[in-house]
Amino acid sequence: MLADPQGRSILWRELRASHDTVRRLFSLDHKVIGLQYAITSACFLLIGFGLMMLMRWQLAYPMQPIPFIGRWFGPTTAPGGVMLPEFYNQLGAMHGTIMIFLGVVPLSVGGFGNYLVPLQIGAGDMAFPRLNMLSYWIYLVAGLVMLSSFAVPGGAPNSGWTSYPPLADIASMGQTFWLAGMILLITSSLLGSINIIVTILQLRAPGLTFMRLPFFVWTQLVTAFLLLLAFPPLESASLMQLMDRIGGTSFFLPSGLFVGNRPLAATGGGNPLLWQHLFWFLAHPEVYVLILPAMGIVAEILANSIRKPLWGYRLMVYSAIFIGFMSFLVWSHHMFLTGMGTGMSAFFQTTTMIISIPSVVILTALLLSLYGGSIRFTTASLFALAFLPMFGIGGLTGLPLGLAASDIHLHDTYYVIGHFHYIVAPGTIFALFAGVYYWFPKLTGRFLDERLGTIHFWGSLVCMNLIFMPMFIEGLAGMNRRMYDGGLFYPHNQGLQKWNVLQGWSAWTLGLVQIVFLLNLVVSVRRGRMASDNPWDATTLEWATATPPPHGNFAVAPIVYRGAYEYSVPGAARDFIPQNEPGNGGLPAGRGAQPQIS
Amino acid sequence: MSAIPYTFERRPDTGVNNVKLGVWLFLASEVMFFGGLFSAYFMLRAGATSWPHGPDVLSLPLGSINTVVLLTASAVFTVAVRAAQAGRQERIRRLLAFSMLLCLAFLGIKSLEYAREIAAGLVPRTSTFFALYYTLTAVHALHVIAGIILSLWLWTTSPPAWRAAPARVVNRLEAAAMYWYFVDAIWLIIVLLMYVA
Amino acid sequence: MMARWLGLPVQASAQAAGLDRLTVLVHLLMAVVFVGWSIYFVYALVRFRRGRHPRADYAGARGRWSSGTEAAVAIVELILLAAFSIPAWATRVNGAPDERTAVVVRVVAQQFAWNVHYPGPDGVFGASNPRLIGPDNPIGLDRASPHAHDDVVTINDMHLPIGRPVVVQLSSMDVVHSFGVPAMRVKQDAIPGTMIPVWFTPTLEGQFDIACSQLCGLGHYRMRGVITVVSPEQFGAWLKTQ
Ligand code: HEA
Ligand code: HEA
Ligand code: CUA
Ligand SMILES: [Cu+2]
Repeated sequence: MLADPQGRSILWRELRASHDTVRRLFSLDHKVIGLQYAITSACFLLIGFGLMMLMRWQLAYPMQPIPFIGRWFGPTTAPGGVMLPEFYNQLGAMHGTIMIFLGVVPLSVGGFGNYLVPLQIGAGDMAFPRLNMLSYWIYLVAGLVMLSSFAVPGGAPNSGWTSYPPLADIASMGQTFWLAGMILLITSSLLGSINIIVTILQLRAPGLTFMRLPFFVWTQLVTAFLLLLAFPPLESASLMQLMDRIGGTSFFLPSGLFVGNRPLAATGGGNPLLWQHLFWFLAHPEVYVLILPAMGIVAEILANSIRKPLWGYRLMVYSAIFIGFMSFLVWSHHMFLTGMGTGMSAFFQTTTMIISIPSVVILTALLLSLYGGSIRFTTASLFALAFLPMFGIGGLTGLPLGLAASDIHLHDTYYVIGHFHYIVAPGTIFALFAGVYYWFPKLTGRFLDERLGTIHFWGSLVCMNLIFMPMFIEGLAGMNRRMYDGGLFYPHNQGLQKWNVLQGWSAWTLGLVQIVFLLNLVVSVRRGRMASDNPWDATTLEWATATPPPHGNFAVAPIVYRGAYEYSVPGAARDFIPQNEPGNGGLPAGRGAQPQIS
Repeated sequence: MSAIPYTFERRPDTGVNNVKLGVWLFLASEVMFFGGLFSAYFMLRAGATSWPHGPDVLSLPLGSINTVVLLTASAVFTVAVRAAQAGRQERIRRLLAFSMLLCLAFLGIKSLEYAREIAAGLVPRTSTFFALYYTLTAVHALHVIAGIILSLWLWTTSPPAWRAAPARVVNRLEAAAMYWYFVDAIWLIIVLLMYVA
Repeated sequence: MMARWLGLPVQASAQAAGLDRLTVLVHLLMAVVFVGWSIYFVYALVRFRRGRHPRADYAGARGRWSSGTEAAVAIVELILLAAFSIPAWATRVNGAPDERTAVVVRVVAQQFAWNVHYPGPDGVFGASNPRLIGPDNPIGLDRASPHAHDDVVTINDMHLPIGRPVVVQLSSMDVVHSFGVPAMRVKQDAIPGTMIPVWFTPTLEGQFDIACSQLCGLGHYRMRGVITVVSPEQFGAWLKTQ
């Protein structure tokens, strides 16, 4: 091997030279890792969105060649630009998987959680920086494994994001990639969630008692517990499906299967419902993983832009914990039609109705918070405000699905698609957008452009509603989901085709609107209006340090004297009192805050 | 502000340190992971038309010997923890090495069992019983391997770490011991479900 | 009325009206909650915008009417649950019609077709033998077995007499499908390895789709069967021609 006079290899010297880049790439700083998470997951969101725009073409104009880019597809996906059903199913499964597992969760937990939790609790970093880095890299590999499945024979996984066996057991090779990716991803999120829980419990600044935590931190805590406890059963299920696919076992294959009128070579004796139970045991808590951090972001931004404390903070915290707990007890409401008896269905219907109550409580608290406020309409607060009715629609349409009798007609129709997209798209995605507009000045020292932001907001709001509102109409009329031809094969769907066309155009317009956003990001990083350390006059600790926060976060370890939302305190000099401001901000005696160092 | 507090010192108001809390949380997730596998066992067994009697198809003697070996390994590990707590640093590495050897023996015996079963034509695809048997024991064996790596890491890092802060080493060993007890417990359940029942 | 307004399909079975009533009631609850909150929301946005209300009020909303609305939502949900959904489900699962008077049909789902198996005039299904399964005998009906000679097997074509309860014994040969008949408000997953009964009573003559409602592969979208509901006499005549 080549060596320099000191006997170190040239390679080593080269490596030393690139050391800085490597160090930056493999940083242990939670802010860098948070950004890596955010950028990666934003890319996945865009990919997931891209797949969706393709699907919407096929739904709007079934069997017509995809314009412009149709030629790029091969004979196995879209010969002559006309999408094959196999390919449609791949796009659907990958859209769901990417959006949920590689997009929204890593962005809200890995990105926002990683970046903000240590700052908001006044800590120097996460409790286990090395695990934190590892969790990002495993996530990246998992994502690449999933994406690379598009290139294998048979293409990407095509059995839906739910991967129900036996279909998934006998599906093409892509499904194996899905399983491998899933196992990696679960490992990554496990490391991440342990880290977040330990950080929140152990590294809170002196005086930051639990009831003084920003609501966002609470939602991250509950979310981390959900990830910690709900994901492992899917890991074991994925392992078993992997065994079925490559080890010849029959965990999920009953005896006597015939595929294409030929007996399937498998021992049998398994149970397809076993998978569904394990999957939904994860996937229901998972949906609250999608919504809780979003609620946290919205709460932060609302409190700041209405300039008053959140109404019923304690109630919100208890509700979030209760949601977390209950979310382990409702999973079978996705399986009402698998042949469930009265007792079991009564149990799961009841738990489902019960779990809707804490969501109602949180929404009510956020809505009532507006009362008496002094509302500022920044782009961030527009997105946060719009979250409320949008989540309201999504949540309320969960009710007819949660009642087994009305679910009979609605199950697996576009009604379900409409239900959860109202929650995850104009709900969670809006909250994430709000978070980007709100914290961008902290990250970069510059504001995003408000004028472009307003275009982005109204464009997204209108387009999303035009996409998702007609889904309820389609669903009630009996149009099924996962239909390659948009349901046209069925006479009863013929009259609904006009909605598909509208949805298609809205989806592509939505894509254009996102370009405005991306442009805003790129331009504002360099040329945006400068922001001070605390540009929104906010109270929580992330604003109590320099912009952007230095390595180690705080020059002096902060001490916390009060709750997270002391806005417009009567008698105080300013309309906000930062959590770390000693004294009582000019309050009458007795109302001031004790540091409560514990 | 950069050192992370409470990695091995107790935080007064929560009463734990970061490493221990982290391991507890990890074990909680492991409970759910094995819970998934065990629930598969019960669901498949409940729906099965026939289910072999464990001792007829698996080697209960080898399983029992292995149980003794694994439990001894954790016992030795416990002695290492005790030694560390008593400040007898010089004994730690010897005991760790002994514990690792026992774990290797466990893996050896397990491989022997696998070899015998495979030779007898009993492979994962034979039946759901064997599918579960191989999956459970292989996952458990992976945990043993991970434990050996953990012990090896403790073996190499404990002398310098001890010089810097003995309490850190003690804490690491205590946390690792929790992991080993968990691995034992899982093994006992596996023996009960597969070899005995 | 409201069912029409929601755009639900025609009610072609006896159970449809009852299930629709629940759907309508839930949507009424949703509409009341949503409209109520929306009015408040818009009011708050206008009344408490910065220009109109420059200094926020620390205490904010007072009074207990929030708990009131929350409790009201909870109570209505519980009523819908206890008075409608659970009983409706109980009849769906336990209220099987008498098999002697009902039409009993076996449906075996397969990628991507519905195999419909009638027992024929003798009312007893012939035996199936997996070894006979092949392209022209997808369910492996053993024509030599005692009751099989008069059995009728069709593909994607189910004829039913109006007004008589039907019991569909549902199963699948390969993957999970779902037997969805929007017009009858019937949907039931067909799970391989199990046989699950569903029942309904057609109340309208005409043709209605069976739409596979569970992703089952590349042909999922075209896994369509047709139920033709006819008068009892026509039904008998149809059975004979098969
Ligand atoms: C973030 C995601 C998320 C969230 C929060 C929820 C929340 C809820 N979900 Fe949803 N759900 C999904 C994501 C989500 N869901 C997904 C992804 C699927 C499909 C999976 C698949 O099959 O692929 C699904 C499917 C699904 C089903 C299965 C349907 C089927 O397949 O047949 C059911 C059934 O019970 C259900 C019920 C509910 C209920 C009762 C809630 C409740 O928690 C909702 C409670 C909330 C409210 C009741 C709102 C309160 C509103 C107000 C107070 C009014 C406010 C008004 C204004 C501001 C104007 N959901
Ligand atoms: C979090 C989850 C999530 C999200 C966000 C979305 C977003 C969208 N989804 Fe998706 N969807 C699913 C999860 C999600 N979906 C799942 C689980 C399924 C079921 C799959 C299955 O059947 O198995 C599904 C299925 C599904 C279908 C049904 C397909 C079928 O049944 O055949 C449709 C149809 O139109 C659809 C449409 C859309 C559209 C138009 C959006 C749009 O709202 C997309 C808008 C996207 C963006 C706006 C992202 C923009 C990103 C950036 C601009 C990057 C930068 C961002 C930041 C830094 C914050 N989705
Ligand atoms: Cu059969 Cu979908
Ligand atoms: Cu759910």
